[in-house]
Amino acid sequence: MRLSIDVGGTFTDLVLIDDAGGRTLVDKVPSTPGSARAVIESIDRITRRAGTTAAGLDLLLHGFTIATNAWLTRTGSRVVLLTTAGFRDVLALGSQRRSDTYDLGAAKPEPLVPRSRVVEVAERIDAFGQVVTPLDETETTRVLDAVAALDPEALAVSLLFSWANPVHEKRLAAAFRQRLPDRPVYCSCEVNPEIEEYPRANTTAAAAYVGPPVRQYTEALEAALAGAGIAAPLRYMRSDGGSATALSARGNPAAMLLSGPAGGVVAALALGEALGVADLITFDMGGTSADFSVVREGRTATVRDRDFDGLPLRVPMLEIKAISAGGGSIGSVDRGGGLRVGPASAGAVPGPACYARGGTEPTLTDAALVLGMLEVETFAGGEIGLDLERARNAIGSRVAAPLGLSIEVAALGMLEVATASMAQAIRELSTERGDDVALFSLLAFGGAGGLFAPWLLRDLGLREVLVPRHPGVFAALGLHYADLHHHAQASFPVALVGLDPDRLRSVLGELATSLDAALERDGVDRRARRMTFSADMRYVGQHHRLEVPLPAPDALDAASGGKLGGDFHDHHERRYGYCHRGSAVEITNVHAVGLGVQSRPPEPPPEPARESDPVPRAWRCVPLGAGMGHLRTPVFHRDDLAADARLAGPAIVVQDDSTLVVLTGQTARVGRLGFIHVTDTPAGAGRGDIPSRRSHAR
Amino acid sequence: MRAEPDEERTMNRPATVERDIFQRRVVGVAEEMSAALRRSAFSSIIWEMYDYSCALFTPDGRMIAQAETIAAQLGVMETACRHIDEEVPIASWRDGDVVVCNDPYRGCTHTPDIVMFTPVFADGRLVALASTIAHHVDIGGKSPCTTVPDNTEVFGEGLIFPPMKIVREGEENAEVFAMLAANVRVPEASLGDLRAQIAGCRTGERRVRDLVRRYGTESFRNLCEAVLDHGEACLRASIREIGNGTSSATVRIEDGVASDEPIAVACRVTVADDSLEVDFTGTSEQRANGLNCPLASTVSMVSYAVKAVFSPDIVQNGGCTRPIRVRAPEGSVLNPARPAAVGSRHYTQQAVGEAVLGALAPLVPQFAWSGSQISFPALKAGGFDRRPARRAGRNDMPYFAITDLLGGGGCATSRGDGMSAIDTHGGNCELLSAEVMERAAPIRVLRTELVPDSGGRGRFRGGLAIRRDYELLCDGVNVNAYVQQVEERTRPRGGDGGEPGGLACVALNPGTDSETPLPSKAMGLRLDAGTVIRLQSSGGGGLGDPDERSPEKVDRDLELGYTTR
Repeated sequence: MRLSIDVGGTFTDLVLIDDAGGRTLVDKVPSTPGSARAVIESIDRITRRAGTTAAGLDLLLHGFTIATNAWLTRTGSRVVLLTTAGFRDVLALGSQRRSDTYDLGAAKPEPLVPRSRVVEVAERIDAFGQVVTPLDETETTRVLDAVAALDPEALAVSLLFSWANPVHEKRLAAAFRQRLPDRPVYCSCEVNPEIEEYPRANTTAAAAYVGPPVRQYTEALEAALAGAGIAAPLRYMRSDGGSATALSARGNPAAMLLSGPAGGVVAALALGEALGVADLITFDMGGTSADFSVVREGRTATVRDRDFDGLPLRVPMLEIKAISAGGGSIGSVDRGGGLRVGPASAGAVPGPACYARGGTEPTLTDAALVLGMLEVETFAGGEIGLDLERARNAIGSRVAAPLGLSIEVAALGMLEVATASMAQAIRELSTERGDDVALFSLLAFGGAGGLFAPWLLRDLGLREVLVPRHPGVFAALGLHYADLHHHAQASFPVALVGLDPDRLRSVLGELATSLDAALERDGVDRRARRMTFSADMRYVGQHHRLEVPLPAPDALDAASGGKLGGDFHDHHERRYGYCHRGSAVEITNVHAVGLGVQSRPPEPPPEPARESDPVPRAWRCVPLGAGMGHLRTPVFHRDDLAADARLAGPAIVVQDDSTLVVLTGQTARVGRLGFIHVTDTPAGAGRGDIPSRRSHAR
Repeated sequence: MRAEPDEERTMNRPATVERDIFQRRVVGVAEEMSAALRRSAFSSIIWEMYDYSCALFTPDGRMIAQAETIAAQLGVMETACRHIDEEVPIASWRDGDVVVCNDPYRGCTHTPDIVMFTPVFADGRLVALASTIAHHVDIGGKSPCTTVPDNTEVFGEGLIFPPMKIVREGEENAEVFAMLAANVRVPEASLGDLRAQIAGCRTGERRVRDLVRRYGTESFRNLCEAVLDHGEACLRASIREIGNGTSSATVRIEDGVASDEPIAVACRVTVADDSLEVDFTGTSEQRANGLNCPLASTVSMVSYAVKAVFSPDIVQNGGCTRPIRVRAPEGSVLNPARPAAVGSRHYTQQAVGEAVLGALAPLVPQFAWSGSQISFPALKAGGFDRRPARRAGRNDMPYFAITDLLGGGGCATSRGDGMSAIDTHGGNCELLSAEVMERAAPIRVLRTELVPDSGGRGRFRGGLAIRRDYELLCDGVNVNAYVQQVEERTRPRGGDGGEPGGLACVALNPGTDSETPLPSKAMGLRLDAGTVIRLQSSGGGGLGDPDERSPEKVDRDLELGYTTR
């Protein structure tokens, strides 16, 4: 029996899978982030429901937002940062770019380490790794005294050109370990051995900043689990879609920073594979944002650097695009009489007006309620009562009245404006990269995914919409499919023309050895280990890099340089639509990823088929028709839908934690693994044409 | 289980919502053009400095949507379009044509900025224009990277394209491309970036045709008008809020080439109900240097300043410029007469932004701001890289050329202290990594740091300046260093009793016996290994009485070393 517990900011999601019977049990409880006790209580609750005990668990999978929250609220640890003399302000200067070109009163993001806790070190290494100013004993002692006086909880060391020669960083780290053996130290030559001092220093500082909170939380949790007699092995979710053992999570805390949305993408990849769907776009819509990610030819999209909350982070992460369009996004009218949705959000507190928790701004949830798309009684499993009057008042006063529209029309306008933003986000990730979206399925989950996905299906001409059996806990389900991950990289600036295969082999070999050791520590059997290699490459003189797979070290030979060049041009052509076969190419960094393949949970048993058509639990008037005509719409409960059940739109399917809307002209079908497939019915395409495709000559 | 339509309750999508959705779509098209251009671009000037823009236009040249990349090019394409139409009438454009122009005296900015238009046809009818503008790293002329302050005529600033078709119905005019390649220093980059611009336009054409298919030609046209009207309505509503009035400001920047007298940018802003007049009468006459600012650039910085004050959150389009009238005397630095050189117009352009913001400040009661740094410190260096590690394994001596641009202190505002270390107004360049620089050039950055006490004191403190020291690692390096705001009369202004920002400077071998201050435009220096060059920007002005600053902030500044006293 295996259990995943995904602790988010508002809710904790749990998915319990019985390996023997394939039975799945899900639960959603309010979160108490950082509390090990709350985790234990939620484990007790779900195992009791399953008629068993926590001691009977074989595997525990855990996602947490401790690192993310520490970063966002700037409540991470007290870090001291060591820099090369003259570079004390590396974090404060940042990139010198403004995030908003037109906002005179904007502020730069607060650095993770304030200027007063940065200590400069008299040392210098040149661009080719030669020591210019040696780091001597006296200076080391002086620096350590200064560091100790600042009483850090963690130390970050990021010296210039440490990726070319780490000798000074290593010396300082060793001296620090001797002086303050109980405090962690993170060196840039290990965290991110890569050119460019600012992103490297910030990534190193990030590790030190979230390291102690991650350690504290995970150790407390492990102690609490042991105290509760739960001996099941524990895995933590990483930002790159992999998982980590306790030891490796604490050793590389920056890898946990953006783990929150990763679970959903991992689940999409694994279940898409089981369904035979290799190309899909994930669409996770919750209270504050809509997150999108692309799975292409059965592979997730990974990035190795991105800005997080305005600061650059260079660790492997799933590529996830978030836009501020969630259930709590607020509708408003601008000075020119234009309708807007977001970026402001009512979040979970005070929440949408219809939650009656003090919110007065009209949100997308209010709009969906006003239009009859939400079930008042069973919303969020009945945990939240919805107040239709408050929703109508909010939309009436803030949107409908200023625009001179009826409340329903204003509500529909809010949904459509939000949908237009989502469609643009999907285009950015797919069409703009040369993908044909007609071949992609949209996998919608989160509380509100099913409300918007059918409109996106039609707007973009996607292949189909897929809605999982438990949309509200899909990310938690994904934890069950994560393999153990380790990543290692090295700086390797060399032109392909002069590529020495022996040198490359030896660099990759070193990376492989370190990953092998890490997998060994994790207790991964040799047969379950996988290793992949890649290189960041670019045209000489260009800035942007492209990651290209490398052969295993022992497959490298004299012909490899030429072959790699060809691979790079091909990749460039595929990604950007062109390449310069005559131009010189260079490598900047090499990467290795080590996987410890984990056993997959069994497929759930097929749902029983039923003779008769499903019976709606209610009928409602909802504007899902052509020209936004109101139609009497049947409301089904997901539990009433048997395998292979088919529904013609308009229809609404309600399940405890989410709602699916099927538009006129669309068909919903219950398929394998509990997925509902929504497609546009070709014959009904004309009849069910949504207004956005009609011409509105005025 | 058949649903019955309830015809009586059918709703029609209101025009406003239709327009707002359409607006997202057209901005989306501009952004897709921008992504296409950026990913096919060759040069770091596009990748790191974002020195390009993409937009869509109506067939008669009004801007429907623009992807926001760099403020310095806001609205430039609209000015250029009018001039191009006069000489190569839009009515003569065919499907597949590509029309370019970079003539500062035909609505463009400076010669490295190539403006490009392509027509978009749907069902044989012209429905829109796609447009891109990109700063090319070099377009010829006497110096690498083309722009130098001591040019006196535009003829010294490289190749000039009058409005012309470089692609006819999909067929490249090979002779023009060959001519371009023969006149620029890095043909690969110039041709690569020009083709990236074409890729951007082609993306726009495709996506506009998708939209026209979706909406129909007639509806597409009506929605374009609605979007333009909305832009206008937003700006007019914001202008009306502040009430009528007139206010003036003058901003000075160093000339340093043609005269010891600073260049004065005088600006008078008049608010009349819901419109604005911006009058630059009293501005210095054009100079015999490259700092003259062509009219298109003057207008674009007015648009920037107006947007920053009135509508930072509004989607920019041609409607937003309708309420603004700009008067720039002919023959002044802001509307020079051919053939005045304009290559280094960005210094003057920053002063335009600062002058308009300064003139507007007293008229806007609910939000206040001081002066920002517009010192624009730039180091341009080139020569042979004689370092053994760079020469290893090659027979030739590698040549290098590098440009570094520093930000400085932003203005304080009534919302808080100014941002430290930022590129301001028209620019938004990234700070070049010291490691990247030392890898590519024999130049070692010894320090990059904030300058304590450089932010003007006030209730809200100005942002801090940057100081960067460079050590040359080879002999015979050709160095140019430029900086403004080095003297009292050009210094960033304080606001409402706040103190002015700290001065910028440039010097050789600072802190030694051989310390030598350099003038604001130091050109063609030949310097040897071991020489240290210091560039320092100016700080932002303070806002409000310094005595009213909260004690906590005073203490925090001292603790962080932002101030020393």
